[in-house]
Amino acid sequence: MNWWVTIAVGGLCAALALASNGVSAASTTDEEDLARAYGGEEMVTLATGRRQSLSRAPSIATVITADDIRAMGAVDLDQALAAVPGLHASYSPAGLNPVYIMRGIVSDYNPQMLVLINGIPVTNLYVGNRGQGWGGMAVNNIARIEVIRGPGSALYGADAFAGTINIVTKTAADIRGTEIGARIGSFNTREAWLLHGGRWGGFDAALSLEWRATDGQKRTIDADAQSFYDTQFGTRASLAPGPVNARRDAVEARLDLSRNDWRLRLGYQGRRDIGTGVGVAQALDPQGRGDSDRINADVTYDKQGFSDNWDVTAQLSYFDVSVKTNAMLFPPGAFNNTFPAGMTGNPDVYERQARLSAAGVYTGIARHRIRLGGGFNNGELYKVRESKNFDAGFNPIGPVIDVSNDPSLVFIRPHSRQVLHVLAQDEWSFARDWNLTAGLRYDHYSDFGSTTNPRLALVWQTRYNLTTKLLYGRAFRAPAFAELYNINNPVALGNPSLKPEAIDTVELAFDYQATGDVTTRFNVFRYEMKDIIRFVPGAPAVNRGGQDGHGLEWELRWAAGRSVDVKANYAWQRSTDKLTDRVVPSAPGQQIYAQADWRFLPGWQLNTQVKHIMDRVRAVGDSRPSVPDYTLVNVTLRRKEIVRNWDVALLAHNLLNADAREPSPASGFIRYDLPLPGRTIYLEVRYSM
Amino acid sequence: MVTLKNTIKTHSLIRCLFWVGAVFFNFCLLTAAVAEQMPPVTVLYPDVQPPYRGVLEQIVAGITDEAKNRVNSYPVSDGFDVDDVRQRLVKQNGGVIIGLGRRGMEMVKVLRVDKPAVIGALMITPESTPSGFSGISLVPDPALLFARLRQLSPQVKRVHLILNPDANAWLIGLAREAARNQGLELIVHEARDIRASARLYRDVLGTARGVADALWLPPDNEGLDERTVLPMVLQEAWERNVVVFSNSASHVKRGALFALYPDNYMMGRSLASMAMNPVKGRSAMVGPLQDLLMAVNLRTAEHLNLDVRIQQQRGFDLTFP
Repeated sequence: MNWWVTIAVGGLCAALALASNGVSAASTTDEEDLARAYGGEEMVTLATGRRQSLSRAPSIATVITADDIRAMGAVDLDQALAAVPGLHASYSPAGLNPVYIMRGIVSDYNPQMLVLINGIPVTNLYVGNRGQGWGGMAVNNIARIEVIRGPGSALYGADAFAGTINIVTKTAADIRGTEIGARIGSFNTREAWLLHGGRWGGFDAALSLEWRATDGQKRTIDADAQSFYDTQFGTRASLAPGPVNARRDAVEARLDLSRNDWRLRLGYQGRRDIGTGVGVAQALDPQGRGDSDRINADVTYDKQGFSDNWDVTAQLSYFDVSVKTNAMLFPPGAFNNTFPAGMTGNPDVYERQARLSAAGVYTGIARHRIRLGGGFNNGELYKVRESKNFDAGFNPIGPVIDVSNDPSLVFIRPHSRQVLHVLAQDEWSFARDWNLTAGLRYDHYSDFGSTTNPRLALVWQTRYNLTTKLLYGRAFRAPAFAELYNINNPVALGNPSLKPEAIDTVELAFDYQATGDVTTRFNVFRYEMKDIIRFVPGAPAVNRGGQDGHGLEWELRWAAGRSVDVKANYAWQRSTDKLTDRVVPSAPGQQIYAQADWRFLPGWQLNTQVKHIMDRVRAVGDSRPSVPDYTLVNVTLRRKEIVRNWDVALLAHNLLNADAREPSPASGFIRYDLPLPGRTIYLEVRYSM
Repeated sequence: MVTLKNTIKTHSLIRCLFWVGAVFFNFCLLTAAVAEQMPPVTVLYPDVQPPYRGVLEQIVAGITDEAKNRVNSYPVSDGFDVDDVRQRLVKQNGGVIIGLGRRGMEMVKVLRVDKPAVIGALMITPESTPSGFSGISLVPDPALLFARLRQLSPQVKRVHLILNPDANAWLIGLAREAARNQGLELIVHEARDIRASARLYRDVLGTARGVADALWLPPDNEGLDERTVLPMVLQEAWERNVVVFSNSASHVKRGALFALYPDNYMMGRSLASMAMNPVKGRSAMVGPLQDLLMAVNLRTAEHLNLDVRIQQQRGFDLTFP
C-alpha cells in the first residue's frame, strides 16, 4: 500500500516539476542578467556566499550545506544526514541515542563513527560515542556537514573507523545579519533560535542561541524486557504496553569570534529531561530522565602564508562533559517482587579533555604538498557518581544509596588517558593527471599503547569530466573507558589489556560530471575488521573475531530543469561477522534515497524526500523474522519572503504515517522493535534582516 | 554557587554592552563629520528573489560604505510609489541617483529628476545605454581577463574568440586593445548562428597548438550550446591541452581553467564613487566591470601542467572541484 502511495507522490511531483519549467521560465530580465554574469543561479549562490575553497580531498566525501538542510526541512542532525549515501541513522533503546550505521558497521554504542564539531571530537571517554546524554542536535547554526565515508585515522586519529562526520558551525560571514526563527509542531514540540553575525569591537562575531523542547513521540511498546521476566516469574510488573519516553529539552549556545588569523569559539550544549526512550535496560521507564552538559572552547591560529612555503595551523581546545541519569532499570515488583520499589541505577560521569595540536603544510618542493603535524590530548573521567539499590550480583541492597565511593559497588572509578600523536602526509603530483597521497599517523596512548595508521590515495584525472580514485586506509577504534575499566557489572566488565579495534579498507571511486546538469559518483569498497571488542557475560571484555564487508554506493545530482533539482543515491553492502560466519545483523543491506527540490513559483519551494531501508537481518539466536523494510516520505513546503524578510514553511516528516521501526537488540526483549515517530508536522517562521 | 555564576555572567554582559556602546558612539561621531560633506545617494534596485537579492544587497552595502551612509535605497517592485520617491528627491538639496538592474534604470528614467544618475548591475553596452547615463556594465573587462590569463599561463600567445560581431562590436574593440597591451594575438572568428559557431569551435580546437593557444568563451553565449557544444569544447581542449577561459564560473566548474565574476561589494563602491565624483567635461559613458573575483579549476590547472603555487591559490576566490 505504502509503495503505491510513494510512487504516486513521486510521480505527481515529477509531473508537476516538469510542468513548472514553463511557469518559471517567465523570469525577469534583471535575474537573467545576473544569472549570465555569474553563470547560473547556483553560481550566484556560491559567489554571494562565503568565499570558500572546495578541497579535492583524496577520500569519498559528501557535503551537506545549510541550504540543503533548510530545503530538506531537517530539524535535527540525524535528519540532515539522511541524504548521505550509505549512512543510516538508527537508534538505541536507551535514550534513543543515534547509531550511525555505515557500510554494515554497527554496535550498541556506535563508537566506530567519529563525530566532530568544527574539527574537534565530541567523543565521550566513557563509552566512546557522543555520550549517553547526546539528546540530538539542532541544525539552525550548522553551516555545513562534511561526511567522509571510510577510514580517516591517518588524519583524524581514533574512531574515524567506519566514517567521520564533521559539523561546521556558522561564522559571522555565514550569518551576515540577524535571523530569528521559531517552529512548533507535533508532540508539543517548540523551538526558537536567534543567530547574529557581524562586526563587533574589531572582531567578526557570530552568536547563536537555540532552544528546543518536545514531549516526543508516544508510539506504543507492546512488550519489553520486564514482559519477558514476567513470563518467567509469573508476575505482571511490566509497564508494557506503554509509550516510548522520548521527551527532551535542549539548549545550544555558540559564540565565534575571529580577527585576522585568530579564532575563538565557545559552545554550550545543555540537555534536560532526556527521556529514557525504551528504558536503560529495555524495560519501560516513563519517569526516567537524563541530563547532560557539554562545554567546548577553542583558540585556533590559522596562518595561510606563514612564510613563503608554509601554511600553519595551531589549536588549543577544551571539552567538558557531564552526563547524569535518574532512571529505573526495572519497574516496581521486578524479579518476582525482589525489587518492590523498582530496580534503580543512576550512573553519572564527568569528563574533561584538553587538546593541543599544530600542523603545517609545506609547498617548497615542486609537485609536493607535505603536511606535518602533531599534538597532545589529556582526557580525564574525573568524577563518577552512582546511586543504586542492587549489588554487583544484581541482588537488592535495600533503598537506593549513594555508592560513588564504594569500590565494591560503583560501576567505574575515575581514570585518565594521555595521547601523543605525530602525522606526515605528502600529496605528490608524480605525472600529468596523476596524484599520489601517502600519509601516516602514529598515536601513543598511555593506557593501551601505540598504533600506526597509514593511508594511500591514487587519484587519476581520467578525462576532463571524470576522476578515478583508488584508496587504501587503516583506522583504529580506541577502547572506551567502560570497556577497559568497568567494575561490579557482571554483564559488562572492563579489561585493561584490550587492544584497539582495527580496520583495513580498499575503495575504488569514480566521480563523473556527465553534463553541466548531471553529476554522478560511484564507488565500491571492501574492508576487513579485526580485534572487535566485545563484552562477555561473567568475564572481562575481550578482543574477539572480526568482520568482513564489501559493497557499493552510487549517487546522482541532476538539475532537471531551471526550477528542479534531483538527488538520489543507492547503497548496497554485505558484511559478515567472522565469529558466527553470518551476515551482520541490524545494518541495512540496501538503502535508497531520492529527493526532488522544486521551485514551482517565484519564492515557493517544495521538497520531497523518499528513503527506503531494506534487508536487515536478525542476530544469531534471535528467532524473530527479519526487521521489516520501511519507506519514509518527508515533504517541506516553503514560501520565501511571504512578506519582506519573512519566510514560512510547513514541514511534514513521515507524511504517510508509515510504521517504521529500527531493530531492537538481539534476544528481542523489545519484541516489535523500536518504533520511529509517525506523521510529524511542524510550522516554521523565520525572520532575517 | 548558581547565584555567583549568574552575577558574574550579568557583570560580564554589562561590561561588554558598555564597551560596544562606547565604540559605536565614537564611530558615529567620526562618520557623521565625514558624511556631512558627501552628497546624498538614492539607490533604486529591482526587488528580485533570493539568491539574486543577495547580489544587490552586497552592491548596496558597497555603495553605502563608499557614500559614508548617506544612502536611501528603494526596492523597485510592483507597488513602487514613484511620486513619493520623486517628491523626496525634489526636496533633497543636491544628491545623485544610482539605478541598479534594468528596473532600476527604467525607474530612473521614469522619475525624470534633474540629478546626476549612474546605472549598474546589468548587461549593457554603450550602444544599448539610454543617452545621458553613465555606468558600469556586468561585462568583465577583457584587459583584466587577459592579464589573469598571462599570469596563470604565460605560454599563451593567441586567444581565439568565437562570437556574433553584430551584437559585440564594443566587446571586440575592448578585447583587441587589451590583447595588444598584453602582447597577445586576438583572433576573432565571426559566427552569426549556432551551427556556424559549433563548426568554428570544432575547427579552432582542431588546429589549436597546445599551450600557445587559448579559447575565450565570451559573455554572449548564444553561440555556445551548453548541452552539445560545451562538452565537446571542454573534451577537445582537455585532450589538446588548450586553455579555455570564460566569463562564467559555471564553465569553470565544468572544466574551463578560470573565469572572472563580479565582486559585488567593490562594484557598489565603484558605482558610488562614479556617481559622487563625475569627471568634469567628459560625456556620459558606460565601462566594463573591473571589480572582479576569480574562479579557478585546480584540476584543469594541474592537467595543463601550470605551476599554480599555493601563494597564487590564496588569491583565488573560488576554486573547483
